Amino acid sequence: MLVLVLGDLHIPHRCSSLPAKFKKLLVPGRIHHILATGNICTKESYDYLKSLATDVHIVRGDFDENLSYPEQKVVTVGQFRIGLCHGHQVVPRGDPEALALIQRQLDVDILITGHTYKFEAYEHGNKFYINPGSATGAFNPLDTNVVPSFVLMDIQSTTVVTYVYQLIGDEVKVERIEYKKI
Amino acid sequence: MATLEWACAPRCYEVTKNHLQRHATQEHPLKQLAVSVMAADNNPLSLALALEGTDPLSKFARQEQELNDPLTQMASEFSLSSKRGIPSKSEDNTLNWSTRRLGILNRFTTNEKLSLSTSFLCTSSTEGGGENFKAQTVVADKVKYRLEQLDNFDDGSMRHMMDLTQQEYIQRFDQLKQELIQSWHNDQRVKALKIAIQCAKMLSDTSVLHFYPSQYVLITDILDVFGKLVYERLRVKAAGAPGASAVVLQREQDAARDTCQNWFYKIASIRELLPRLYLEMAIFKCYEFLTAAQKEIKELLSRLTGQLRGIADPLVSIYARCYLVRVGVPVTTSRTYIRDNFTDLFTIYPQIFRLVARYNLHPEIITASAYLQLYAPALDFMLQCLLHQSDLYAQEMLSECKQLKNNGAVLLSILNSSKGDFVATHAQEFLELINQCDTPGISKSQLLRPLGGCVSNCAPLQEQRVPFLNAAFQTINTLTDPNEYINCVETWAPFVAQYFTIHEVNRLLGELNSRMCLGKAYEKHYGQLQSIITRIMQNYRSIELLLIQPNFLPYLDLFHKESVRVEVCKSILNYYRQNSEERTCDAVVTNALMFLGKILNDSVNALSVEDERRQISQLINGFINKVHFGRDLEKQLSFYVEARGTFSNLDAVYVTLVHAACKLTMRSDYRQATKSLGFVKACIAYCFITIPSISSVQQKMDLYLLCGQLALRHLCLGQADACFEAALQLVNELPAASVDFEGKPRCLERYLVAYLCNMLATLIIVPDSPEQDVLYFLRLLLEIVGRRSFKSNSTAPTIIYLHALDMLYVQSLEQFPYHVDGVISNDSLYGHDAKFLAEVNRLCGQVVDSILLQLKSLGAAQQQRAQAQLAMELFLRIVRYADLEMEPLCQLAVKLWLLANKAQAQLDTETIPQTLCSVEHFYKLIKDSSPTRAQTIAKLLLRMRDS
Amino acid sequence: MLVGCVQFHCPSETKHDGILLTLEGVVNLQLSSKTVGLFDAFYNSVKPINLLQNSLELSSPGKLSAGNSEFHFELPLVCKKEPRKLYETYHGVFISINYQLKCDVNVKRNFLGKSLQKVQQFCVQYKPAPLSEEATRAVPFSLSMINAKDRVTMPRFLITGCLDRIESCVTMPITGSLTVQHTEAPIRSIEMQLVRVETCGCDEGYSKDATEVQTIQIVDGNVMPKLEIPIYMVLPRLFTCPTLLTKNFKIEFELNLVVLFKEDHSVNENFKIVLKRATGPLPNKITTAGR
Repeated sequence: MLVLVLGDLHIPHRCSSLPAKFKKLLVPGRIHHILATGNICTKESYDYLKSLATDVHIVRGDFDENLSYPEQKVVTVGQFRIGLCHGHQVVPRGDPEALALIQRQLDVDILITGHTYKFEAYEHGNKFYINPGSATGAFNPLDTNVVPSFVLMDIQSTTVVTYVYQLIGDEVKVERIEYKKI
Repeated sequence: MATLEWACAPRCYEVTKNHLQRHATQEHPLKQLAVSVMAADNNPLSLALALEGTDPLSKFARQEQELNDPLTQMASEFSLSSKRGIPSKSEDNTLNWSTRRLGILNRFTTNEKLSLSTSFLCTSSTEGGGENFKAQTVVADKVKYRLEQLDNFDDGSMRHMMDLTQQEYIQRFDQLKQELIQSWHNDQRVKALKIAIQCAKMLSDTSVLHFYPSQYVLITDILDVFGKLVYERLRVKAAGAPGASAVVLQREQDAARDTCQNWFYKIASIRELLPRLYLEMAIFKCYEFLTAAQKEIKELLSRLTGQLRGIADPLVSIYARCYLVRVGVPVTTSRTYIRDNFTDLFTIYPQIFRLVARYNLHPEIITASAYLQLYAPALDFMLQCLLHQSDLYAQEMLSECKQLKNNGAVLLSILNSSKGDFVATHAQEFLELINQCDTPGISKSQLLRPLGGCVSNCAPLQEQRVPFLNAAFQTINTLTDPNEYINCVETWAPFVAQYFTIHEVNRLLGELNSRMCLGKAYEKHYGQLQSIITRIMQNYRSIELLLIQPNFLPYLDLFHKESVRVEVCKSILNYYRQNSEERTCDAVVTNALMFLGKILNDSVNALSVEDERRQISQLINGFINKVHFGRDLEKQLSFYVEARGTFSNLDAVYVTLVHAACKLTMRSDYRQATKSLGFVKACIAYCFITIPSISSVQQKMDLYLLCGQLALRHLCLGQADACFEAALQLVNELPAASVDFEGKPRCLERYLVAYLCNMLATLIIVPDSPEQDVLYFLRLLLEIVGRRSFKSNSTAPTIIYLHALDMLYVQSLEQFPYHVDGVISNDSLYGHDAKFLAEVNRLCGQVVDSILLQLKSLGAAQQQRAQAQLAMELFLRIVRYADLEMEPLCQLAVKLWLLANKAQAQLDTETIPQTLCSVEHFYKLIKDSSPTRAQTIAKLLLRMRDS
Repeated sequence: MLVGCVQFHCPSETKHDGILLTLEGVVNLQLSSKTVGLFDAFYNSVKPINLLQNSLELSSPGKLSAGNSEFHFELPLVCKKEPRKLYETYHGVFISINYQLKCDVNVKRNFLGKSLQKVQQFCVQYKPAPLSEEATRAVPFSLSMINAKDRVTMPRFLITGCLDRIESCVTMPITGSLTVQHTEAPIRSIEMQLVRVETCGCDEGYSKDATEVQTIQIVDGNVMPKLEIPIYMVLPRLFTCPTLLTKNFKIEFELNLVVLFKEDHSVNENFKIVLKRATGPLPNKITTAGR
């Protein structure tokens, strides 16, 4: 089961489109679910995601036009409960303890957040935390050096193989992370 | 109520993020896809996959391109049709006819009254001889009987239906068709034949000329039905029963053959010429039961061609010939008979003009030009069949056309029916012919239009183009009637745009400008003017180059009517959005775009609907995001300033401009020069000035926060403070609900909570200003939240306070978890000063007090569940942040725990265990780093258990 | 030789008193009503002429078994007395030539004494023979006001043309062409009329009647002058036969070319034609299924 995780696109305000090298990788019909961490911003971008997979889950980011997206969402894929939250509501921002609280509140195995524009994947208290970064490499007002990145999770029974796609220079670098549910 | 004594416990532990191991890899799911696509590329079978080789967006782009570029579209269509065409040419052609039929029916209509003669409608069919002749066994007798029956019908009750409207007339024919089919299936074959004959007879009636082509379509439909019925019946007969022996089969085939011959005998004895020929043509396909030889088929066709000469009326004759071609095309590939038909046509051609001359004197019957147009469908179809996939006769037709007097009508059809490349290679010749052509009823513009269309699709050779174009426009410019002129130019515009330089396009636009201004000619031709500009855009390779032509913008002035002008501007900008380069830096282009945008902006007023606004904003935003002056950031900013001045009516454009200016600050590398810092300040100042003009409070708040963050990042602390202050001051203006773009009201409370949390997370690193009190913004925030009226029993303020507590706790730490480069946040600013800490603790106490008040009022309102949940949240924060050595805090924690437990029934089953789990987790965290604190927690747990 | 087969289908075993096949060929002559009175005296000459009378006993009295039984037969087609030949089948107004095969089943024991009878007609045709050299000669013609009856009021005109052959085969269409060279008055229609001329009686005196077989239009409206227009007429199968000249009667055919003008004038040109049965392009098959 392939789950595409991405967010913080900021199209068209900060970036005109996804990097061409990313677009080339994203072929319609092969991805089963899309989890978007927010800041998809416009309907056009949403429609684009819809063209990649019919099952698209979105939570609201601080610059989403559409206010009807939920702040948090839980999606079950295979044996995993996955929590989704943009993260601009977290004080202090990106704080692992605050995230752990959300994780416990939502009672999920994997918590996905965005907002920091930095890819991260770590384990904390036997739970898995992922931040896919910004797929467009949109600027972060409080940070420099944003690397465009997104994540693809391959979920097989109790194992998640996470592939991280990062655009470094003009090359797409892919890394693989394996996480097993205990 | 006394303020709670609060003391923050120092943070004495590190949260460990166990970063999982990352391996660089070449194998990943998306990569595999790419590989499989590559493999598919080499596999000729999976054509579909090979086409899919790229990502969806670029694929869409490609499709778009194909749609917009008529040449490639034509080419692909052509290649498709030729692929399909070769194996089943006949099908291809009949398809052609069926597509024509509707066109003809729609084009040739009349208001005049029509009449119809038949003996079959509204008369009960008393002559039901079906049963009778079934009993007859002698073949000879049967035929005789049938023939007698035929005679009976002849003097049968003929009814003349007069004064039918067109609609009624069509209905009658439909009825006749049904009657025919029914008769056939009721074994009344003679009656069916008789109906067909009567229909065919009506084709000689040209009393309502305007309608003749449609009449022809209706009647030949019936004849086609009849032909098909006969053919199918014979085919079934000839095929015999399944599994029949060879002998039986042979007998069946002979019988079918005999029946077939009888049909032809019967038809050959029809007295009148026209129905006799039409009927034979209708069942022409049946000749295949009599002969398989192509030679004989050709002879039959050429015999019929000859017989058609007997029809004197040229209109009736040409349509009969057209029918011959229709039935001939599916049975033979030979074109000789079509060619022969044209020879005959050219012989009787002068006859047409004798009639034209007569109608010229009597335009009340029909005008000469309308009369000539009646010929067009038949002529076009025949020519198309003659020239289809073969150049064999094209040259011949052209030279014969030259010899004809009054050749306009034929020339027109040749232009309409010839293949593009033939016209292209003879373009000059055609032009000369048109110049010489002086046919009554056919104007030069009528001829120039299809020529323009042809060369637009398929251009003459490179070296001939310029002289050709010049010659063509010499002719076009002689057209004095603006209507004729503009109609011509419409078809020529794509040709000019596609194959010539921008100068020719510009010249064309200039000519249009001056021509159409004369006598306000533009007023009547907005449609054409619009279509010309669209065609030019679609065919000219660079929209930017078009925009900067001196005659381009003046062209827009032709559209005096506001609504049309707006429409045109929209289409240009839309085209620009989809087809321009990624970026533009040309000032002239930008100016043109601004000009167009201004027209749109000015068209918006209080009455404009929301959708219109959004559409226009989108178009303008589209180009604003494309304007890019590279390293010249100042110019970029001044463009934004200009845009702000120009597009004052559109909120969404302002939002875009603010975002654009924000983005601009990120492009300036402020560390290199002080000039850059000045520039960043200018950008933020720009935003700061622009934001208030936006009407949506929510958007204003978002943008202020964004600008404040950016200002902070660029060390413009004063501006950052101003932004945050402005943002917070807006909180009270935020409406309780807004209407989203789907038209549904959305409660903004959830938004506000998230927004303020975001703000709090930002405020952590905002250093206190020397001009304000300690933690000024936090106080301001708390005050504003306290002032704002929330929905009754709302949990929102409590959640905000809880997060304010989070923020305050961070303030108490020796080092903040994050910083912005170069910004000295409060941790360094105060250096963990005791006075500052005391202030933080005091504020914490205030916040907790407020939370407790809220909890109380929730309890009073019977909101136990919310109360308990929030109590748990506060409880956890006390455990994590507060110094539990202080008895009041410890007591408070226990009280909160009890409060929540009382409402256990209303809570989710998981809530309490989860909270305990969190505490336990925290305990583990600090157990090693701070045993004393761990002990206080253990004590607290004991007290909780005991109470 | 007439070859065939008689099939019986009986639900049960049936007795009969003989099955007989009879072959008949008769020329029926009839005088047209207007001439009847005058020719009463010659009544003799118009009595039917028997061409063929032949019979064959298929079965002597006996039984037909239940189910299908078939009797195959062959009968010679020969005319034994005058005129010692068979003519082609023909259905005309005053003359008809018919051939029929009769099958009688005599059943005496039937209380009504009725026999079963079944009649089946069949066609006789000559063996096709090639047309003579001479016959393929074209027949040119020309029509002008000279052909008209009232020359004074007649508009001036000239129509020329030709028929391809004077002798024609019954299975082949009559072909030719005509061209309107010029005309003062507009033409309404040009028609081709096929007429049969039936003569009954012999040398002493006869009734001769011309009746129309079929008329087809070949020009509709005022056609362009100088345009060659084909003449094409398919001969109706049952109402034509090869021209037949015998001692007692004659069957001949003529063509009329009729030009009708808009002002109700008309001009007529008559052609005598000879029809034969020749080897034609369209092979002709007639099923004579004897049952």
